[in-house]
Amino acid sequence: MNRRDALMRVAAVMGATLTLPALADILEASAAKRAALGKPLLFTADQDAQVAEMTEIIIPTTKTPGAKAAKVNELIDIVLKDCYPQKDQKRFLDGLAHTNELSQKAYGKNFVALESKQQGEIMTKLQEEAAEQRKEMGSKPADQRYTPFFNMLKGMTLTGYFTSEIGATQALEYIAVPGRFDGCMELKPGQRAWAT
Amino acid sequence: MNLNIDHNKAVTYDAIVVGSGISGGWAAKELTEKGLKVLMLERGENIEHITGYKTAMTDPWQFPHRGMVPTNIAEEQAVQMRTGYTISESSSYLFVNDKENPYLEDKRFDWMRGYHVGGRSLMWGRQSYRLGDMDFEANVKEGVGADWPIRYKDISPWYDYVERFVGVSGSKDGLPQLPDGQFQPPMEMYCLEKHVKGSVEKKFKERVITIGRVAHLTKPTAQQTALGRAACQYRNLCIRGCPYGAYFSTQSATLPAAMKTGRLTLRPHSIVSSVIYDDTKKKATGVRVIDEVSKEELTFNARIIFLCASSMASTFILMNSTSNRFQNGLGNDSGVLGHYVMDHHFRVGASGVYEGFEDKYYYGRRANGIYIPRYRNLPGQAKRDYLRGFGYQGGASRLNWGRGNSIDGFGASFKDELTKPGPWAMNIGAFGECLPYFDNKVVIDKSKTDKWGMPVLRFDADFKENEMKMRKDMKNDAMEMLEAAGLKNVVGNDNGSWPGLGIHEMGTARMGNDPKQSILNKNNQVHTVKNVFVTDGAAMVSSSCVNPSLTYMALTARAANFAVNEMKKQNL
Repeated sequence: MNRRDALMRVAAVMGATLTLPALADILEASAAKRAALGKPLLFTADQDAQVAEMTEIIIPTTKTPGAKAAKVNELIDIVLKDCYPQKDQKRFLDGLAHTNELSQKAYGKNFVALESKQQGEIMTKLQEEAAEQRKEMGSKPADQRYTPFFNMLKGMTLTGYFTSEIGATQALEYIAVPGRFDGCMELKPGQRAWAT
Repeated sequence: MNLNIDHNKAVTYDAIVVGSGISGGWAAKELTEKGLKVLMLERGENIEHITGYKTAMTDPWQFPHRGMVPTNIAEEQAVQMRTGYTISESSSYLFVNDKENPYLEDKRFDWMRGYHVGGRSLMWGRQSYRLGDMDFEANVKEGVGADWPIRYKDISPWYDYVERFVGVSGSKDGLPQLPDGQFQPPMEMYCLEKHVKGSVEKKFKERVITIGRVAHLTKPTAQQTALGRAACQYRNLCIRGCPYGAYFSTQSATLPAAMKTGRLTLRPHSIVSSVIYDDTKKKATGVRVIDEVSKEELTFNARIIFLCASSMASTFILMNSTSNRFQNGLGNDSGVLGHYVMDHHFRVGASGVYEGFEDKYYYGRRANGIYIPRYRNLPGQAKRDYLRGFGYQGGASRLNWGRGNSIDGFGASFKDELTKPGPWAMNIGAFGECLPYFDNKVVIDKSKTDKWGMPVLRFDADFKENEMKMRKDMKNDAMEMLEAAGLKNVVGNDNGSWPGLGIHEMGTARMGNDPKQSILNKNNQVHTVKNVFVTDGAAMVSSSCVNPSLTYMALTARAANFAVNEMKKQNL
């Protein structure tokens, strides 16, 4: 259901005539800019392509489309630029460079040029490094703790994918207006989780 | 809508209502319905019902940051962000810009505000409970603070009256400590909640788990339908404003009712700086206003004035209303104005997961939780090492895709797992009563001014020994109950609590029978300025442990009825 349909449905319930309100235009500046420019805002074109590859390893295309199809890399570019402080942006960009270093060392190629099995191995390595970093930080005061690159990437990928239209409506099930509540019902075989 | 944009000095109103939130909306409705010509002043902008809720129908993927708050907004709303849950990309426009609306903190005070028509009635938690005699009698029985000038029997018919109009969904439980009300059908519990209820009520005979009593329509009355309100659609996006008018707000309910009379004038962008007191007439004659946009200074006159600007803002206006007669603030002969700041202390409880009910799920998003009414220090029980008590709010659900962040893995099988409902989990968190302390205070500080040249409030309040002792029970009891119900990995939490953060800040212009110890009488009337009423949270004498908004509504309707009767008798 698109926004207009949704509003018209409200109008029907209310028995009222509605004028369509403007979208939350103040919030859309970066997204509009990226769309208009046709290129990333924070990332270089290479970084953008690398992020797209890495998100697809985390959430690949299976019987439903994956992170690339949901354009999770575009969301990460926008969110990283608008919602994260510079030190987090730097940690993320350093993480991308580090990923290529690991790829070069193991296979003599950048991450995007690797076979998907090799990409998976690099990601496993990043996951292990992140676990090590979190373990080291465990005993440190809060202001010295941070989210390692792998967990930043994974967190933004999960959010980006499962809140995308593809993720919410194909991988999960999304109902904008449930209209009723049933707190205790049988789970049907194969039933997907609610998106919201 | 009857908006007064061009100020006509010739117009004198019967009544001025300052503020358009939960209390102001009720004052406007009651006074206009009883025949008065009313001017409602709101310091912020207008937000039209339905069309003004600009994110209400936005799907998750339509938010450019998927709900995350951009850093520039986070800086402008640094205080509003302190709750950790109210500000998101979808709701930040309903909360104030902290840079434009500063205040001072001798001790941390988290002041959450919404400056627009409807005030916080648009973003409130909607939990609606009555205070009972246990609450009204506690101060005098324990020698704490001052006695309430009313008892449950005085307010009970007004609770009935406001509940019927508001529409409160809930279950009748027959508990003396939490009186039943005029309820619409209750919402259902989740499987796990029903299980926990059974286990807890069996093991602890004085503890009850019920469904939250919440200001949502589940079976609208003809009166509610006529105002354009519909039943709850179970979207759980309430904080964005409800286009169905399913939860109670000024916009959905009291404002259209008041407008229907043809006697309400609403003027947004009107910052009330003070009440004008006439030394010869010995009463208030009107209010001074600064236009939020033009900064022009205006005066409006009326026979009676209802201050419903929110607990702290109404007290600010009284403090800022000085005259020869009242040099320390209007009606402040007692010196208690600004003292006895209260809020509920919370952010303490427990959570756990449950192995079972894997074959059970749910449909719809219930914008409500379970409630465990107070069961400590009830009359006749053995006393704890602290006074008063607490209630729990909480709920169960199956974990969603977010659990992927706390487990290792990625790839096809990881993705597949996250598309299935996760294990059941439940959390409960307590809201505790805070005693009224003279030392917990707010003052006006003229050393700092805001962009309208107004002085600011300075807060000096904290939770003390009684609250800290209570928090031990709040945490331990929560763990004990979840464990009793067989939950696993039960973890207790106490994340610390600061006044204001509960967004139930109250007190500072309390009611009382003794004018030497209070600002307002039993009808919310300023003891020494009979045509000024304060009916929001400022009037509270003790805090109870239940969510307070329903009580503000009942007090407001009751005071409005009294005021109109007094006007008829030529006493005002």
